[in-house]
Amino acid sequence: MIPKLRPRAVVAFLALIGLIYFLVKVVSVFWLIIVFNIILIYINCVFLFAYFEFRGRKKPVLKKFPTVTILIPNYNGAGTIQMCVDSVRAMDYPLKKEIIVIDDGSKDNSAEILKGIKGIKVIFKKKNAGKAAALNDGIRAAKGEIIAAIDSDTFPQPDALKKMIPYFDNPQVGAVTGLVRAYQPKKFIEKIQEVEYLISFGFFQTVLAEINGIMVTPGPMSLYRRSVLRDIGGYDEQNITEDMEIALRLQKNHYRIAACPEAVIYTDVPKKISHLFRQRTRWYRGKFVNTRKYSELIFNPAYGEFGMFSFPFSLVADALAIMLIVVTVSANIEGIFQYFGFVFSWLGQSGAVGALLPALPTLHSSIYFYFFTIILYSFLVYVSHKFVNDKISIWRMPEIAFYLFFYGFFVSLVYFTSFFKEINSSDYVW
Amino acid sequence: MVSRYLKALILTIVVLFVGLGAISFLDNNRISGISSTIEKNSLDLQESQQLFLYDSLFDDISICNSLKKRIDSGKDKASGILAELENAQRNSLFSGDISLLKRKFLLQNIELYLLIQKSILDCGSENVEQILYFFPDKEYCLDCASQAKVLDSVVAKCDNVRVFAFPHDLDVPVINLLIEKYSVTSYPSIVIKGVKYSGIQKEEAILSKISCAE
Repeated sequence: MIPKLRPRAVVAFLALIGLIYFLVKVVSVFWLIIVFNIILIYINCVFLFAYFEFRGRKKPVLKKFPTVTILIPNYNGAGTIQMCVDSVRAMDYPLKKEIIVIDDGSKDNSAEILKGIKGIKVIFKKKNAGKAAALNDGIRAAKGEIIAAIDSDTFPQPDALKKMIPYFDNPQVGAVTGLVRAYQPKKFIEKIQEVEYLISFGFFQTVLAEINGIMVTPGPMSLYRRSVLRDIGGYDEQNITEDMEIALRLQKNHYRIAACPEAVIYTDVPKKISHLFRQRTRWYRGKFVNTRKYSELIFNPAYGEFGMFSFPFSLVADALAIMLIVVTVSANIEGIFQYFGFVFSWLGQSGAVGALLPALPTLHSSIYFYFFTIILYSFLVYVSHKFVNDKISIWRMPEIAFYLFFYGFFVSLVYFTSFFKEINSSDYVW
Repeated sequence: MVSRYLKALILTIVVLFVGLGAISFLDNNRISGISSTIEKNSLDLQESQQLFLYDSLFDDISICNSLKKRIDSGKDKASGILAELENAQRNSLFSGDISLLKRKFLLQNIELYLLIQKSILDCGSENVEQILYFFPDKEYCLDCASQAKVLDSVVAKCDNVRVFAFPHDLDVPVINLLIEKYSVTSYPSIVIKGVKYSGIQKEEAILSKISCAE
C-alpha cells in the first residue's frame, strides 16, 4: 500500500531536523542541551509559582446544590460496569442523582447485567458508534443541570461529586476535573502509571487550572455544565480523543475549566506494555489532531494565558523534552559505548576489575543540568503525594525512580511513533 | 499575574548561573588533577636538567646516583594521562587550555625519554626498562585505550619500568624520528628493548619481555 503522506507535515519535520542539525554544527550540541533545559526549567518554574499561589487560595463554598445526571457510556464493559454503577450510586450527594448508562452496542453480556440493575436508566444502542456519540445520546436524555461523564471502568470515591460540584459556583466554569488514579495497581507497569497519573492530575492539572491552561477534561470522570455542553454542541463524534477536543472547545468559547485534586477517581489502567503503547499513541495523535484543529488559539491574545502561555508552551515543552532526550543520548552515547567496549576489551586482558572504577564513562558536563530537572520532578512527586495524603514509602521508590529517569524514553518513543503515523495518515485505532 | 512569569524568569536565571558555575567547577576539577601531575613532572625534569648542566660544567662522579634517584621519582601513569586529557577536552564545556597542557605533557615525555637515554650513556645501563608506546591522537582507538590500561598496570607492578606515550600523528620531530627508527606502521604498537610489537599486547606477554623489579 502506498502511504498517503501529508506533504506539509513531512516538510515541517525535515525543516525541524535541519534546524537541529544546523544548531548542532554551528552552536555545539552542548549549548543546545543547556538552552533546551533552560526553557523547560522556565516552564516548570512558572508552574511552581502557580502552585504556591494555588496553596493560598480558599476552596469555593456552594450556596445551592444543582441537580446532577451521571452518564456512563459502556462498550464491552461487563467486567466492571456493575462495580462502576455501585460506586457511582455510593457517591454522597444531597439531591437524587440521575444515572444513565448508554450501552454502545456491546457484544459481551453487558446488556444482561444492565437489565438486572434497578434504579438506573439504560439506553441500548444497536450499533457501536463510539464513546462521543454515546455521550451525546446521554446529554440529550439528561435532565440534570450538571453532567458527569464517567467511564465504565472507573470508580469514583464516595466524596468525589460533593467536592467537585462547588467549583461550578463560578458561572464562568464550564467543566470540573478530578484527580484520576490507577485502580489497585499490582504490576510494575501499572505502578509507574500510578506515579504518572498522580503527577499529571495531582500537580499539573491543578497548576494548569490556576493559569487557566487545562487542555484535557479526563475521560474517566469529568463534570460539565449541561447548558454549556448544549451551547457548544456536545462531543465531536469524529475525534479520537474526545476528552481533549471538548476541553479545547470549552477554552475556545472562553469557559473556564476548574480542577479539584481532592476528588479522587479510580480507573483501570493498561496492564500490558502493548496496550499502554496503543493508548498513548491514540492520545498523542489526538493531541496532534486537536492542536491543528485549534491552532488559531496559539499565541492569540484574545485567549489570555491559555493562548499566550499554556497551550503553545505545552507544545514547546513536549517538543523540547523529546529533542533533549534524543540529543543528550546521542551526545553521550559515544562515551557510554566506548566504556562498555573498553570493559570487554579490558576483561579480555584478564585485568583486575578494580582498575575499571576510575574509568567510568565520561559524560559531558552539560548533563548536570539534568539534575535540576530531576530535583524539580522529585519535588513534584512529593507535592502530588501530598494531594492524596499518601506517604512515599520506600517500596514506592522503584517506580518513582523509573518514572524520573527512564519513563521519558518510553514517552519519546510513543511520540515518534504517533508522529510518523500522523504524517503517514494511518488509520486511527482506539 | 505578570509577576508569576517574572519570578519564574528570575529563578530560571539563577538556576542557569548556578548550573554553569557547577559545570565550570566540575570541568576545572577534572583537569586540575591532570594538570598538577604534569606540573610536578615538569619540576622533576628541571632538576634532572640542572644535574646534567652541573655535570657538563664540573667533573663530578656523584651525579649518576642523584640522576638515578631523580628519574626513579618521576614515575607516574604516563600513558593514561593523555587519554584522560582527551576525555576531559571532549566532555567539558569550559575546557580552557587543554591543548597547551597536552603539548606540555608530550614534550615533557620526550624530554624525559632523551634524558634517560643520556643517563644510560653517561652512567651505564641502569636497571631501567623502557617501553615506547605509539598510538593515534586524532582518532579514537579502542585497543589503544585498553593497551594504555595494561601499560599503567605494568608500571604499577614494576618499579623500574618507564612508559613513554607517543602520539604518532601530531608531527613532533623527535617522535617522527622514533617512528622511522623502529618502523612503526600500525597502532597500538610498543617497543621493548628495541623490538617493535604491533597490536595489543597482554600483560603477561609484556612482563615476560622485561625484568620486573617490584
